[in-house]
Amino acid sequence: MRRKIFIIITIAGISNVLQAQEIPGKLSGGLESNSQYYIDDKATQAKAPRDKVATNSYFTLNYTLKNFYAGVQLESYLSAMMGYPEGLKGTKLTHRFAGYRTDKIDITAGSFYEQYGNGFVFRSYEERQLGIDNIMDGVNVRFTPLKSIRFKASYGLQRVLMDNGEGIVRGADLELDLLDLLKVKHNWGVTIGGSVINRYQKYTGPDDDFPPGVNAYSGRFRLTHPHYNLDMEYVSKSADPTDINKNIFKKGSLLYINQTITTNKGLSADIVFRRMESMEFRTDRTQKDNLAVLNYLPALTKLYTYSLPNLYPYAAQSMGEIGGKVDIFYHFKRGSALGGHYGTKLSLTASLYRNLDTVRLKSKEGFSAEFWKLGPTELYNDVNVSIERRWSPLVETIVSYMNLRYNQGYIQGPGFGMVNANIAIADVLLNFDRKNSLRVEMQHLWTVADEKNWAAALLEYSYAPGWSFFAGDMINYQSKKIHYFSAGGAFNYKEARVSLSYGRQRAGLLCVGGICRMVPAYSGANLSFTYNF
Amino acid sequence: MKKKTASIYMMVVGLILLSVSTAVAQENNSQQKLPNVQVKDMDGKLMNVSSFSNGGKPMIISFWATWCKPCISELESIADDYDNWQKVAGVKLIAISIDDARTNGGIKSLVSSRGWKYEVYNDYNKDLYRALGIANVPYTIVLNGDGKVIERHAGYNPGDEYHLLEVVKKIAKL
Repeated sequence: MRRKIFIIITIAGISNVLQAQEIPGKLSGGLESNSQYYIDDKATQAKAPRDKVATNSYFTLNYTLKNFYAGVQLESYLSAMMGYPEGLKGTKLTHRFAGYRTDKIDITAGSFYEQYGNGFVFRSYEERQLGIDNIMDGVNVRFTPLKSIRFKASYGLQRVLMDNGEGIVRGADLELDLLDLLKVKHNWGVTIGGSVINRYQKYTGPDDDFPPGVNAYSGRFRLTHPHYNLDMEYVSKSADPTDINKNIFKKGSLLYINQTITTNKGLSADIVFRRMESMEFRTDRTQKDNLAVLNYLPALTKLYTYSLPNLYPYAAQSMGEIGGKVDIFYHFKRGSALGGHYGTKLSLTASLYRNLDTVRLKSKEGFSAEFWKLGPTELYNDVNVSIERRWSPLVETIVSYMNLRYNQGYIQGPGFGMVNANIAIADVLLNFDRKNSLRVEMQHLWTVADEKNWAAALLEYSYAPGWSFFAGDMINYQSKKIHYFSAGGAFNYKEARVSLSYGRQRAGLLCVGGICRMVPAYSGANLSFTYNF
Repeated sequence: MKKKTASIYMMVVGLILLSVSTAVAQENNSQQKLPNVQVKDMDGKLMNVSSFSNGGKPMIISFWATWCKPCISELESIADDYDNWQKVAGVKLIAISIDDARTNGGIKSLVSSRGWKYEVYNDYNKDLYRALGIANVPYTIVLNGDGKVIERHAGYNPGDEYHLLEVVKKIAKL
């Protein structure tokens, strides 16, 4: 008997000791896993790869103890899902870092993400859906001696696919809040900033003038007020001959001006202008697509969430582009004539992009372009009106209409023309009670170009908390008459989410946040799991 | 006899270990707080996330983006009843957008026109999002008055806001 008690207590003691030896500090992280099963599909001519099952998984683990932090990320592409860059394969610990952080200083050794200003000269980031992860491997320092003085310095190699690339990157960035520094009390704020970044990559070719190092400089100015923000950035970049620009020695430049105006009356606007030429910047001049990109040049257009407008997504033209976007939001207040009982939200968006007015040069520069002049070719242009209104506790609607002009030949390659399309979308949400709701989405696209008219419909039923199911179809009913159907469900429980779907994916540009990649057509099932802690 | 003393001795040691380790383990099992990471406010100034507080009352951290429809639905449905939420549970909602340079110029105008009374920040290069291991928006975290994480929730279905209010009410009473 006594022996039994003894054993029980000892076991309890040991297990508790083991628990007590749990490392101090905090652990956090997450797991994301996406799997696909492919089938051959005659209608879309999608062919299943030899390995019919593909799984991309990401596991991150972060550890912090007071001012110290460290972390790792493991990635597995077994096999990689269709459409991802070919070089993403196998399993590897792709991130590992350790650092020390206080209010004044933050030093990271190993893998780090960083962004200077708006990212036009330097941004390392991860976008798993696009297979982008250009994390740096080196040392990063953020120094904030005063709240109004912010300094960053970074150097290292950049991740390209599963390894580090060969280009060496070093840079620094400084930002000052002028009025705060001068101790002027004002409801205006003035911030100035600047960055410099250098990339060096060995050159072994025959050209003596070839620059192995490329520099980019950026100056920024920001004015803030409760009702007005102005954000300007100008970038200058040295000559950077690559295979993509046919080895011209053209300097790059970029001008960005963003203004935000807000009022207390429910009206606000956002106006952005950007002009850039020869701004492609990579750590490896031989790479293409989204690989080894050092800066961030997203398309500055409205990001549509519906499927039909996304048939023709604009992609920023880093060789030369000039244009802008205007967004206007208005909220008709509750109880007003147009606002109804719950208020009505109106949004208007227009954007226009053209190429530059260029003149070909015989010199190494390749071309020259006048600064303040729109080019002869229209690249993209859209106008969108969207009205969101709740009619009763049961019914909410969003109605949108848009017109877009998309230079498919210029953006996606020769063989295409200009697409002029009109799109109408109705999105109705029915909240039956506190748990059950149904969303119905209907879309139609009219065009005589490309695959002609499209129609799409989607039903989404959700049972809170946790369950949701959807079924949708999209068809180019005047041309190939292919049904791009899909159906599936998702279950959320606290921090976990599982989703399963089956359907057809259309070949085309997949864009996330204005950066795009081409995806092939495929058919099959998709299983995703995310969890974090 | 010797054997007996030894076993009693062992039991005592075992008990001491048990009690000490239980105490330590309890300390270790304390819930997580937000990490020491910086986000930008609407004027572009940096703000340390670990300094978020609501005077001992619960907080909701909602990760969203201007291009994320379910995120906006969630924030809209809470906004409709936010005055009541504040009155009932004293809760504060902090909306952290993960918009990057493509869309973060539009955060202020969107929030202003919709008349949201939330504190809004921009996690412009996803430093916080990554530190918390989040994979997708919308994502909601509920903190108690001490800033400890009580609940996390991925995704949004219409009606989830009622559950969220229940959780917040429960914390406020404790």
